[in-house]
Amino acid sequence: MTTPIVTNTDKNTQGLDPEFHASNNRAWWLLRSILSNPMGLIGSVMVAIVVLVGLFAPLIAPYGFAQTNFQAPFQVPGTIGFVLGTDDLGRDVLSRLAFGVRASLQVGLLAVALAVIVGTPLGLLAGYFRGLDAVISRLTDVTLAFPFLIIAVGLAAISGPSLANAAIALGISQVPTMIRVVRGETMRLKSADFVKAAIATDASKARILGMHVLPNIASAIIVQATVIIPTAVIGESILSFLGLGIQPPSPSLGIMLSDAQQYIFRAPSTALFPGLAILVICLAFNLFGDALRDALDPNSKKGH
Amino acid sequence: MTRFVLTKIFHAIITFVLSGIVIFFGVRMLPGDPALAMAGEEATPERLDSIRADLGLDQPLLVQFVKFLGDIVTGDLGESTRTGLAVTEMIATTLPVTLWLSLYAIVVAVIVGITLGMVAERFRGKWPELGSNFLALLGLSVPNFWLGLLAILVLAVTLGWFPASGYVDVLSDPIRGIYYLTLPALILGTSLAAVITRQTRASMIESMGTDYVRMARAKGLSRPRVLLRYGLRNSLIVLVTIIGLQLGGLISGAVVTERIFALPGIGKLTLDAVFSRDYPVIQAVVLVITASYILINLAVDILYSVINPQIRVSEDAS
Amino acid sequence: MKKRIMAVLASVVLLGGCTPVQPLGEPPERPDVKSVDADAGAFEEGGDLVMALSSEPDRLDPTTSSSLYTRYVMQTMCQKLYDIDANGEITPMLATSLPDVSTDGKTVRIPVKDGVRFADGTDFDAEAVKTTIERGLNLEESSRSAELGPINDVTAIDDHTLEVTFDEPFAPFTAALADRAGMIMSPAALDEAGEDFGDHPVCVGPFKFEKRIAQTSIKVVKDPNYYDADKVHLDSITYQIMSDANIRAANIRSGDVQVADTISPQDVDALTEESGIGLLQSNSLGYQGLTVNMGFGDNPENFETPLGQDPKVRKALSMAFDRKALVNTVFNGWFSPACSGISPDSPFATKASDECVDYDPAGAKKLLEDAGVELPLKVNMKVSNTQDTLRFAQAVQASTKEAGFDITVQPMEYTALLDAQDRGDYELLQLGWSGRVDPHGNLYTFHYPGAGNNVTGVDDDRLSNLLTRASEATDIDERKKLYGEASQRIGELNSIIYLYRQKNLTAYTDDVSGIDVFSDGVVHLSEAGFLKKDAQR
Repeated sequence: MTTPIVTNTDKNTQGLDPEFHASNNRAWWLLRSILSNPMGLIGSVMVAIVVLVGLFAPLIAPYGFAQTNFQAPFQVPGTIGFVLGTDDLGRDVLSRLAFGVRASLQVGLLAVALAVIVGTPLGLLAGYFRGLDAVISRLTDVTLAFPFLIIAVGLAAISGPSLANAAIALGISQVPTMIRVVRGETMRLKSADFVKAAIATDASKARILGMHVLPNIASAIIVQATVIIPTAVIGESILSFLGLGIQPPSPSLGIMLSDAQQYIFRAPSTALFPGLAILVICLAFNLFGDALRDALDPNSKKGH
Repeated sequence: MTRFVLTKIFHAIITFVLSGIVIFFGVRMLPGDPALAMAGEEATPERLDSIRADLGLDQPLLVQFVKFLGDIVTGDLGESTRTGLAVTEMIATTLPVTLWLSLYAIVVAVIVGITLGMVAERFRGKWPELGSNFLALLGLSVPNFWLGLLAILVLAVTLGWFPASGYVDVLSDPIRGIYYLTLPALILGTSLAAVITRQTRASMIESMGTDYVRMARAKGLSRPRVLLRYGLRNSLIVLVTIIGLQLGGLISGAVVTERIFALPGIGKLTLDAVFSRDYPVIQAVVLVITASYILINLAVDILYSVINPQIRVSEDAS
Repeated sequence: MKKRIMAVLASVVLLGGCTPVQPLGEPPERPDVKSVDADAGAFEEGGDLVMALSSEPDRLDPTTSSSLYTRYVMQTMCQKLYDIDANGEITPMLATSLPDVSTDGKTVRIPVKDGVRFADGTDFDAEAVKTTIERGLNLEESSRSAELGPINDVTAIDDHTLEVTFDEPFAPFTAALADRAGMIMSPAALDEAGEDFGDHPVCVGPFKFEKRIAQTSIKVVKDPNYYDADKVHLDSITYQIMSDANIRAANIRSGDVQVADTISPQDVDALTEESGIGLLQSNSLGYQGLTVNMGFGDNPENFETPLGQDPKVRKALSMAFDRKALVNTVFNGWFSPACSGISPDSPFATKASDECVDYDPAGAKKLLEDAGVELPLKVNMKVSNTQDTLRFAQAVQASTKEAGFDITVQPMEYTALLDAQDRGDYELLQLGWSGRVDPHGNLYTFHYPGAGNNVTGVDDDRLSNLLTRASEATDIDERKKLYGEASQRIGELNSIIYLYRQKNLTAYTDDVSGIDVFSDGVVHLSEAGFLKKDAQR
């Protein structure tokens, strides 16, 4: 629901060697650093599981996600043939869950891609050029003045409910935060020695932004991206819960929950699994994101 | 200082005007005809035309926009197309519900968040810190509408400790009012509490590691006193900022919470109005929400500059 | 610790690991229960009854209101010239007898009550009735003009007799006066409030309007001016708006409300098992159905389809699903299959109108093959994204596969769906109708060319002729026969494929009594009251 703005608070990275980021060993070093942190290890394993479930949903699901069985609605978890039970139309909960996780991840990744693709250039421009900053900052202020759910509900209602539109709505609602993060980092780097040096050599502005600034704020962007995924996953479930997200018969964790709310007295167990699935996805990315941030910013690590 | 405040106010006004434009045209981009939504089963062409004329929907967009601006200036926000009630009156009855709910949620979140954050700082590297960290992560990761459903199922329906829904005016009957709002406020406060826990812990750790705190400790001040005098004060400043930043999230959360618990607040009003294409209500409500968001953030910005942490810290350290 | 977790896990596996599939049984017989009542002496005088209302009423103005739920609230404060009784028959309310219709059917005389006063103390007379009916006809925002028919003139021939003359005979007029068109408003209040009458309605009724809080509640209090005040037990009634079915159910359980309408079929069984909760049930006069685009709107792609052009294909679709099984699964067996626009509970129901097409997937497939369409036949179906409709649509989609249909379900927001319907932008569409007492309101506007709700574009001479004759005939048996024939003709054309009929499910707590719910679904609370402790069951 809430999106914490994650900024790199460590002022000491100002003098970071730009070449350092280009190194191939960097990725390995990051991964090892994340995995050596117990929270990071758990998070990585959970992310891997969630992604595998999403990728191989058709293999995991014993039935089609829309395959009904009118003779067997509301079977309890543990029924032979239906490990997690069935829903109101006799559809297998496990199958719908697997495809629901896949849909959630699709929305999460699409939203992140949108936020990064739109937010990064705008943030760079706003952070580097004072003239553009005034315009872009006012625009982000306006977008931020609308609670994220209002934007998402409005956009989803305008464009018609669907998976893609939900992802777009959620992505757009995350753009301003992304702009703010990138803008802040860019402004900070502008005064860093190696950027000043680049400016002194008369390098073109595009080159400075692309070659010197962008690689150094990549970590901040990645960290913010891991925060957006859980936000978008929860956002998708809320939109679908309100009838503005993914549309039945396509499965979605939010739809499963809104169905479950209807017969919460009759079959309370149907409300359990979809919610747990959302919780696991979000926990996975939050743990992973924390570890990633710690790895990128050794200074904040002393907190652990 | 004055310059800073004036700039902030100027920015706030620009933001407000731009949001007004976005709202007006956004509402008109919604698919579906409000006249049809209103006529329901009695949608004859003549009736639809008369409704459109009545709502001014047959006028050019620009004329409608000018009227909208005029309405904002005069404070007359029109009538709901669905119920025929004055929109200002509808907002006046629903806004307090959301305000009480949010206030309650903030109080809960601040108490829980600061406690958990301080516990984490106090027991660095021990299991209470781990527990606090884990709870905070859980709070950030849990979809709060699901938590709401479970709470209704377990705490309200099965155990009967809380009412499943409903609202009692807090001013006319404080005890029952607060009792009815408890479950929704706990649910709404969850993610805010998680954010506060994490920030409190981080800022406490940071300030406890600074030179002036080390010096104070060396001078013989007891740990709790240092904690209260320096750590917590710094955290409070952080807190003000967080609440400003999280306001959007809080309002979003209120929309969902009000729906789950059937609270007649501004969030539920917004959703209902969107679904029934009640243009005057959507416009007015979203405008009020953005205006309050802009105002509160303006206040936070100014407050923040007034109690500049650096100044306070240096005074105390000397 | 580990051991304990293992033990818990093991017991879960043991308990739940090998439950065999529990097949769904046939639902039991569920006879109607339309009233709960008690002896006059058993009622405690006074008290505030709280009713959970499933949908917020729109304007509390009988002339402009278009939401059906408005009737639930208006029922207690705006009495009508006529009402319907438990059998769906029309009975006098503010009128003293059924209308006196001339032999040519064009002149209708209605005698009205004497010695009745409006809530503002002004006298109720034929002139007031005339004012109300004329407002229904002439007010620009009126939703009532079509219901009132081809009226030529309205006159008060004396204080207590109204005469209405028509250009053509119009039999559904009486039924219209048993709905919102027949709610008589105080002329003094109309003079004063004009279009804002709905902000503070004043009529004749056991209760009068007290206040309304948007989105929250509407309160009415006992009206001392009411002519039959002896029969009124309560001091006041508060209607609390609770749009979620399970929240209404939860509030009935906790006793925070005493009456709740439109209980979800998912909640009913659990609810009625609890002690202290009673249930009223009656079949709705409306229906849910599939509307086929046969030539409506500007885009030929929507109707130049096998479904839109070939009655055989539509017939096949109607045969392709097992209505009974679907209703049993999706609605827990609480709703009933529908096969025509006339409810079996309507006094107009006949054998002909009750007739149903048999479930026959093989026959449907054969019909499709005969029609020469390529199988599976792709059909796009637009539905509203409300829970019940969506569930039913998914069930229809799954069960028509066998007959050779491949239906794509396209859910839309309700308002967007109405828009699509109005523009003819659909191939197949699932929508319902709330139902009217007179079959005219359920059939004519949907099937007569150019009529308000004819969004299928159906234009069939035989059907049009039957519907016109039925609206002009004055003899009820003649009308029944004509509507039966019309129903059968619709069954051949299948412009609307009827699916199911809802039940009005109203729950109440055992400490109250005197509640009626008839086939129009309106909850009558006028003579309700709390029971004395010793009289409670």
